[in-house]
Amino acid sequence: VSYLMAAIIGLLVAVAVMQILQRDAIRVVVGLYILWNATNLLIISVASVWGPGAPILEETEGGAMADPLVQAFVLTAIVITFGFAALLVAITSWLSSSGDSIDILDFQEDHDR
Amino acid sequence: MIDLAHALPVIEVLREHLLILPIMLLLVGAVCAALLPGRAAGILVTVVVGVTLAINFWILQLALDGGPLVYFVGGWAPPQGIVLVADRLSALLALVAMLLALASSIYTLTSQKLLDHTYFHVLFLFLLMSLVGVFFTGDLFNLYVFMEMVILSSVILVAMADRPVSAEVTFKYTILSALGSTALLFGIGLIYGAMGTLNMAEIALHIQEGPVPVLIPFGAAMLLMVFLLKAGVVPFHFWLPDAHSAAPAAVSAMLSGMLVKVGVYGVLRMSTLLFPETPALAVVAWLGAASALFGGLAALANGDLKRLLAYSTIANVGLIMIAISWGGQWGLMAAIAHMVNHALFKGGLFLAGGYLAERYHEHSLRSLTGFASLSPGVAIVFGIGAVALAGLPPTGGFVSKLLLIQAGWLDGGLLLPVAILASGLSIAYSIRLFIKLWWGTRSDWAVALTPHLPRQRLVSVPAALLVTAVLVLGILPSLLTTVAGAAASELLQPEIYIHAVLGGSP
Repeated sequence: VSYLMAAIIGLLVAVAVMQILQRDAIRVVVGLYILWNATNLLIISVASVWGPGAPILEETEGGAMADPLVQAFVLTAIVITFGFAALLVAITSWLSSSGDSIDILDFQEDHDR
Repeated sequence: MIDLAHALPVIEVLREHLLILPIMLLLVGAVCAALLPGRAAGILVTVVVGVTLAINFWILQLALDGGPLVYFVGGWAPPQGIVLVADRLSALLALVAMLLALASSIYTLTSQKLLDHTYFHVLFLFLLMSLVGVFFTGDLFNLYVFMEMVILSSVILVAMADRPVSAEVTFKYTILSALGSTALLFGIGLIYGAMGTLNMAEIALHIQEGPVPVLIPFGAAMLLMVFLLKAGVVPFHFWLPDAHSAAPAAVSAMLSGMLVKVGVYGVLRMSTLLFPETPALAVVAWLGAASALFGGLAALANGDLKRLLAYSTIANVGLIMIAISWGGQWGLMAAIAHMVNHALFKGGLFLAGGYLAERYHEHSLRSLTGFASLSPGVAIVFGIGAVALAGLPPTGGFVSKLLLIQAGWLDGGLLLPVAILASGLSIAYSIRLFIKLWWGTRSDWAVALTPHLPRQRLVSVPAALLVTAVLVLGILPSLLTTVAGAAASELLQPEIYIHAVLGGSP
């Protein structure tokens, strides 16, 4: 299971990096979102090292259970990244309404005078 | 203070919950500010920041007298519970952050545009709350959460300048910050996987006892990268001049004065508490040297007032990184002293310079020459700030440059000439600023425009507050060296921090 998980996370990171390197601003945002999900998967897979059982004492007494702390971390991280993604989409929309392009190559290279 | 505590039981209760107090106060203040109209909200922000400043002063005093303050959130002891820790370094940085914030919030009162912005005050207080949180948190995951909050609030504050380039700059800043925070989460995940804990004291203890798990160097490298990105060290610097120069003046002062210090704080914590004597310090040293030289040269070549100041932030952070890599009592003392000084004078310079740029809608040094006679109050404050930036007496900048050279002399390595060269560059670009603004020929358009601009009173007061603080630190250097020295010696004994958090005798 953990090899499969590692392969999936690796694949997601690869896709995310490819998207982030695109010229289109919205693709960059999507790429970041995929990267965030890959990170969350990584943390979850770190947790399942202990065992597959639900972390409830009465139900999995004696059996190996997953680390409950990590579930809380990932929930927090998901909420934060969701908020972040919303902000990024808003900024991208501002970008397209303030200029005429969301192509990164149209950005001014340098604002130095 | 002790007599007072016996007389008033309230003080005892406050003292018991002292560490959560600044965070709660700023959070409640932010919510209240959302309900008030412009000017009232601005005054509320100033009052809240002032009260928090006083509390942070108290915290620093307690931390200096009796070792790190520890607060168990909700009463749960570590390793299960969340813990807030204020050692001398965190308390000092939180105090400086509040001093800078006080100046910025007074400055905001003079700017009608920011006062009218509905969410400015809310986000400003959120930013301060998360800054204090970053400095006080005792575990890595809360560090991540607070850093995300720093990013989210600062991104929107940068966007508020509403200049033509704002959208692009905000996009760049957000994407890079988001990548950074992803790397931070990744690194924290790896460290948790290896250690099974996020409490910094406990991680430090495990690493001391060894053996170090395989995943730790990877996680640590991720963390280091994020902190260097936040600090704006070369090669992670490219977002910094854009974001810092595009933001409104009050926000630029916070960004350049304090936000980069979040990264520096992270590097300091990692190099002293989590991974003492790590070989990665050599990387920090040479990247610091590269940013000191690059930042200095770029500042010297730049013709834009706020960008020049932003590049000099890169140079100064580079110097601080060099001092951290020297380590030892003198190196850390120099790093901490320069962090404090840089925060104060760069905040003052950004408030004064940003005011001019916003008043005349002009950022170019060529057009802003000779403004000294147009607004002498601002010019005097700016001049003193430039002297501190150059690292000349009688300012605090001189004291910390002296400490830096002393630390480099004791280290005896190749980095001392680099640091001296970078200091020379800082003198060069400060003199250039000074000459342009004081002795340049006045632009006709500025002279013609000035009578038509609304007179703004009190604009130089906030910057003067910060610059005076730098002057006081220069005239009474023992004030700074005592506190910085005490903080450095505490950092060099990580067992103090560990025992304060986890209990047991030191």
